[in-house]
Amino acid sequence: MNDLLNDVMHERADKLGPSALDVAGIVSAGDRRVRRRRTAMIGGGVAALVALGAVAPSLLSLRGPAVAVETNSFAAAFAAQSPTYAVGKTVHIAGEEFTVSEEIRAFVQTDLGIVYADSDGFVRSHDGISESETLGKAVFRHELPGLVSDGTTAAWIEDGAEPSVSVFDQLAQEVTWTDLEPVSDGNEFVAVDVLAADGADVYVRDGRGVVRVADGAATTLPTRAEGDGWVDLSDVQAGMFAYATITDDTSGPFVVGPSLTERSFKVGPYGTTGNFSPDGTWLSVEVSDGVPALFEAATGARHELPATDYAWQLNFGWVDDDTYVAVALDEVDEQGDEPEGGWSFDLLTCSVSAADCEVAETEMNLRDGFNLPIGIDLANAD
Amino acid sequence: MAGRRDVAAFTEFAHARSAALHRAAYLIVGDPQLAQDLGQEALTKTYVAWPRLRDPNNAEAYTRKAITTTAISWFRRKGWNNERPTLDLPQAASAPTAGHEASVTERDWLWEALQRLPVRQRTAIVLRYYEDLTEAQTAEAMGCAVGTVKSQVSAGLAKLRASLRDQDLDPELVSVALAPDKPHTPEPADKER
Repeated sequence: MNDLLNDVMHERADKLGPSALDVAGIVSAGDRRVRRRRTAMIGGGVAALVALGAVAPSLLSLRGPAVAVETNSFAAAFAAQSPTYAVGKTVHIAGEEFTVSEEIRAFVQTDLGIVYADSDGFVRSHDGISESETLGKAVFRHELPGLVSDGTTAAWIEDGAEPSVSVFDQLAQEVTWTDLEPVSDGNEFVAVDVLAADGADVYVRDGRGVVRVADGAATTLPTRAEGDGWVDLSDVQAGMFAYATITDDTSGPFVVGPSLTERSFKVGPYGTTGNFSPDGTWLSVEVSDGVPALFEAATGARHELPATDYAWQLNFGWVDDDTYVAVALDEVDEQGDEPEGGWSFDLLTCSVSAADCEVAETEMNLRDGFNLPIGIDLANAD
Repeated sequence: MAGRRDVAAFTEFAHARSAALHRAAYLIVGDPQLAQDLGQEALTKTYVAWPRLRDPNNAEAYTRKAITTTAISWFRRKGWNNERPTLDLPQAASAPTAGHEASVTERDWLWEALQRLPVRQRTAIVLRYYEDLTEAQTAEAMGCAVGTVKSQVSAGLAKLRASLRDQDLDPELVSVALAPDKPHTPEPADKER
């Protein structure tokens, strides 16, 4: 069977000359990569201290020339996960701004910068100083994230005839593509989607169900969903999952657990969304429209949120393990209609332990071109 | 294999397996220098991951996966045309001569047709037929589902058949050369390669 094909491959391989193996070069290159990762991690820690004002002024005075200051300021802000938003081509972070080459349709924030998609879906990264070449083309579905991120990783479903997920390591500036299985046409709500990132692991949904993609390999995760059922995965962090299981007849509640078959506690009804703190300790959820809540992920205990006077608030991300970021509106009428002049809202950072919120930006206007780092095409979301 | 980055153990592994990995890389990319670069990159990734790899079998599997996924990424990132032209196409065998010369031409055409396949189809065929991996092992190495391996192999073989037919090669040879897909192979208990 296929003897000739086999013969040809062996014949060609056998005629190949010996490989010029350079083990010293491999070890040297490998050690450089390891050092680069360590440096980035340590640098991130130092940058966070700088951002928090914990470094002595004398040390800060050792800053170099203007260009270096500019470089450091963005790197420190991104490493500290400072709140970010974008308007058009301009990205705002820590009181500074930079411009990307194309209008931002959706973006996510990483420890090193942003990864964004333009109006055509083409994906690029930017660290505040320089922009990458095009990394791929993301698929966007109504109201769902087209991009996800965690740490230095961002991911998206690659636009193409055959489904695949692109996983971008912004530190190494490398994209890894992994093939996915098409979804049958049986369920109009289910398609190949990118769901969440937990470190370098990316979670997607494809024809097999929920799939973890790690190091270019895809592993299907067991779930309780049967038949045409499916799992609506909201977030994964430090090995904890927040999800709902949708079966043929019923929509299960939004739960938290260490896997997609185990449930530690119930958060709320299906339709709830949430995101974990970076260490997986806290789960911030929107229990109803504009009403946030905070749960301790290990126990399910509901934690009192810092009191604010806002009529509507959405916690959309975390600065660190104790601080989350929110957008908040002073007033919302009963119909939820947009007021004349557009929505005006504040950007908040809130400390769980201090039970306090600070206004990072105020009276921002939600008009065309405004974006938050949640990977969703806000212009086409209801 | 120790948890720390054991250079001596890695060096031993690299010397022991580099020739075989180099040959597989060559069959996937079709160019000796590119295969050299691919092997070097895959072994570098293996060295970085070395503390996580518990035994030599894991290292071998990890390196094979690094070769296949890196090759596929290179082809996609660099925009290399899957159906890239080859440098030395043999003369068309519209009137194949008998005996050895015809056989050489047929083998050349088969090699060139293999190199013109999309990279994932070629990779799946190399892993299944040259490396003699099972479908599950091939799926693991390519980071995809078993079903994808089946479809990639099937599509690749179909293209090879069509390509050879287009050259008006001996139909009997074509049918013998590229019979239906390799049957499912059971998982080996401990396959020696």
